Amino acid sequence: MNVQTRKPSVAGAQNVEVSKKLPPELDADGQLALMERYTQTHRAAAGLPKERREIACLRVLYPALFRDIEDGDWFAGRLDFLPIGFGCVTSVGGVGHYCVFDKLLAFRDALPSAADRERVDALYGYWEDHDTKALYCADTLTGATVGRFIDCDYPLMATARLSGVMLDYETLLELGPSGMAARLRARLEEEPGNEFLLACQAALGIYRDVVDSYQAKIAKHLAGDVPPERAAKLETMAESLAQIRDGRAETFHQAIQQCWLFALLAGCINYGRWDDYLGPYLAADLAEGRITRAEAKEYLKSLWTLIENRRTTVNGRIIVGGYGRKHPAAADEFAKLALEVTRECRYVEPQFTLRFNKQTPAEIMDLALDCIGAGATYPTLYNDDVNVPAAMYGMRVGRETAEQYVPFGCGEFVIQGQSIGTPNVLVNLLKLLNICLNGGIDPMDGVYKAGPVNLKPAAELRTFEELYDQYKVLLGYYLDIGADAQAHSYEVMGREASFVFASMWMRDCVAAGKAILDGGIRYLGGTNETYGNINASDSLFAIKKLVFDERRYTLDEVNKALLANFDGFAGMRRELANCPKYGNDLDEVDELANDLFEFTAKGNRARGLARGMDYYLIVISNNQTNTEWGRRTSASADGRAAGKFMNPANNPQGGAARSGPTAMLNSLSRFQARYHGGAVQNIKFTPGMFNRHRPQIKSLFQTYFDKGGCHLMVTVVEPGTLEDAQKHPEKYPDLIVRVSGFSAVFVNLDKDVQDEIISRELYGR
Amino acid sequence: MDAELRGTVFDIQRFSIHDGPGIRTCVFLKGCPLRCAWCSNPESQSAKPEPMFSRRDQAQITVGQEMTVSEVLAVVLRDCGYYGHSGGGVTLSGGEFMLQAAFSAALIDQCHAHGLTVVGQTSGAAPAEVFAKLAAKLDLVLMDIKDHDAQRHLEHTRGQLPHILANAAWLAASGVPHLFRIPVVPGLNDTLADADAFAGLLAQLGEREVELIPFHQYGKGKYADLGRDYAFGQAKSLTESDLGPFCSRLESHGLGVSVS
Repeated sequence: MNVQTRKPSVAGAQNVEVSKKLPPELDADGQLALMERYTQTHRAAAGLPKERREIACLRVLYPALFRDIEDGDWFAGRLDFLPIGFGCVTSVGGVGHYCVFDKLLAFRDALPSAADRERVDALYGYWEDHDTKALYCADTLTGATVGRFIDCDYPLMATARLSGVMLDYETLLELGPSGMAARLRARLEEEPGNEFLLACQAALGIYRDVVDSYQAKIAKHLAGDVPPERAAKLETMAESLAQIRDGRAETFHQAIQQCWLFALLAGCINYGRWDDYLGPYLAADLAEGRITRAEAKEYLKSLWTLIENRRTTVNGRIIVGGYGRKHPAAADEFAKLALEVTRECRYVEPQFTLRFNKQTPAEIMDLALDCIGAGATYPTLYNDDVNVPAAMYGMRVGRETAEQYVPFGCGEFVIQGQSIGTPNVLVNLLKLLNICLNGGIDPMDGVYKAGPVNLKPAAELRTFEELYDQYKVLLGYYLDIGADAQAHSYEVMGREASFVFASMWMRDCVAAGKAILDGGIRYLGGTNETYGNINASDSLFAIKKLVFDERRYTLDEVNKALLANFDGFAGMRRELANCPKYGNDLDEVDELANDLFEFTAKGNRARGLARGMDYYLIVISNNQTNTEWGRRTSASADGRAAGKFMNPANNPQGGAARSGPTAMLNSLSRFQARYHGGAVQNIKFTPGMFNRHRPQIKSLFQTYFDKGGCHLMVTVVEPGTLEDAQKHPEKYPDLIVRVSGFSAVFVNLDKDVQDEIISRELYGR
Repeated sequence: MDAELRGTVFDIQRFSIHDGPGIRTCVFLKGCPLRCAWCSNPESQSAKPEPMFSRRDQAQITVGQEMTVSEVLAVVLRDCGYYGHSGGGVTLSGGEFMLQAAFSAALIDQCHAHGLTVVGQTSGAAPAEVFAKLAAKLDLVLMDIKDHDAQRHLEHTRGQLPHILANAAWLAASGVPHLFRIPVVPGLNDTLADADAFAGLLAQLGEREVELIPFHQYGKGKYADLGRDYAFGQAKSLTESDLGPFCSRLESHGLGVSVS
């Protein structure tokens, strides 16, 4: 790379990307031409309202980026993205008008012609000043405290993205494009010239263009030599597209097709409660003999494949079950079919999710456990009886609304079709503790990162309370700048774009005549991902015990040992490591963990509300950031060495939980769900334990859920398999594990991420 | 106070699912009168705490600690919800828990007072009156019969089979729910002739059911960690399918056979 970037901070990995993306259909020339056209359009529309600019730019992308239908597809709709374009999330490009700089550079470097590389350089230069996230970063990032996601040298990372948008498919299916068009006309009579409503009208035109482009592709295929089976699929597709181009979906196939195209156009990578939206179409088609169950299953397999092929790693949520469904019986039929498909496909996406409660049929729970027991890692389980009341408090909504909660990404909640809850801030509690112990200087790189917070050196902290209070002040400062960063991300994104397709199909935007971030969304929430929670509380506990209760060491000695990464302090390290740890159902330890959790959660929430968000919650989610951030986090007083992974989500550090699954689950269930917006809980069993002792496993889970457990994600794997897969990856192409907030093919993970997963207790060994 | 009685415990294993019905917490008491050559818990044999190398900690630790009944109970009670859901409870094991008779009796009573069922795993190597008194308190007794040949039993376990069988006879006639279990050890008691002899013994006791515990090598490393020799270091673990013919032979005598 020899481009002179003026803003180096904008380049670099920007999201967790484990699954390898499929290359775009357009060749390099086509891609470059399209990116240039997009850039020219964006530049030329500089003086226009953002809505018109967005539509003009979207017309460049669509239908051009929609790929051809593949042989196995039952539905039209494969969408590429390029290093420059428009979107909501970093998993498929970027947010708003975006440029993914490192991908653009990679694209540039692969070009053979110097002239073409210069064309790319020109684009790069333009987008440095116009990429939404770059604009946000320029305002938000600081030299020492706030870094770009993912830059693990900072205690806090901030990003701009509009994650977790899940459309109001109920309204979509009820109205169809023509119904929406009528609604828009009516609204425009009330508010002539409303740019947002006009943009929605134009967006419907783009949707029709996409449908028409697929009709043309289908016609071309059918004109050629296609086998009868494939022709039947294409004809079904053509019929459905003809119906849904303007009208409402009338069949299961049409309903999937319509939802899918709008999800793609809106930049959504999480889909939500498709059991309730699509179940009635499935039930009606089956009842009236339009399709067989086997055909319906083929449709779902194809849909699952289309979702998988987007390779969005930590997303792809399809959610079944739970309270608040309008059509529970039909939805359960969908759920059963989906469970079978999930088990047979063994994909890492969709991130197939079961919401359950006391009323969930035993048959569904059993199918779910069978699917998990077969090694699919899915469904991931969400306990409605805990989460619905928790969402009522956390998101400050009524029961009916809370019943529409949906987890997305790595486990944070939004209200489907009604809220935004994107996690645009991430904070590392352990790094902050180490900084707090070291007078504000991060031992990892020697940089001062405490901002204006006045920190006493370790030698001057006389009591545990003094230390803990000082830590809380530092943490509070970071929660402040985090909440500012979150709020500012909405300002910047809202200034640059309307996210017309997403806004159109969120419940209130058209009625309000406003885009999501212009006040159109009913609940503008947000989330802050916290990392190293348990390492931090275990470290605090070890310090309390060894330094302040037992006077074995001074705090200064502990800090010196940490600075030396325990070199020369093996005895102290052993004592620190042997202190009681979270995950063993020990009151003292778990209470301290809970105290830190509640301090962080409540402090975060209050700061978000003060900045005008409808809710702002911490999520103890996880992707592999616990490992990546651990690489850049110095040695900690729980005995963890510098550079080692941190604990995954709400779980104990690997190796710390030694008291069996009941004890671990008791520790996990201690945090009250109402204070967080999702907390990922992992557990790992051998198939022998999980499948041969199913009644006890069911009792184990049920008791945990009764005790307030909000969630569980389960990996079932033979002992030794993960270790063997590290050595012989070629033998395990489809070994799926639950990393935390997502599932992945094990052998695609980095070595230390693999190590972290192996370190977790495997029950039944 | 019974609650303050002290016992020597070498492990409390939560989520035990092989030691009685449902989800149980298994309390392992230290000390055993027998010295079974294949014992998979060699750290359970001596009644006193002793040094042992911990692989997990990579350090020398002490195995076994004195605990009061209430301290054990405090751990046990943390999993009440799991017991209730699964029909589980507490299991007393060892070692031979009956060696610590007063402590065991108090712990059983305390568990019952909290509505928990208690299963006892015993070798039967306890004085008759102690055996009867403790067994009568239990909700289920799982009793090992390690051999049918008294001389061989003495050689391999250092225990007196006639005495153990007398306790077994008491148990069989007592009306206390119980199940006899045979640890099947390769080269020691695993022939079809052994199966016939065991069946005869169980018939004398009037038993219809028996459980087999296939020999395993999970305890092998512990001998090294304790710095002791292990006579069965080279023996092969048995699987459920290895026991097929042995099971069939027992079944041919009209016994219901399960494998642990």
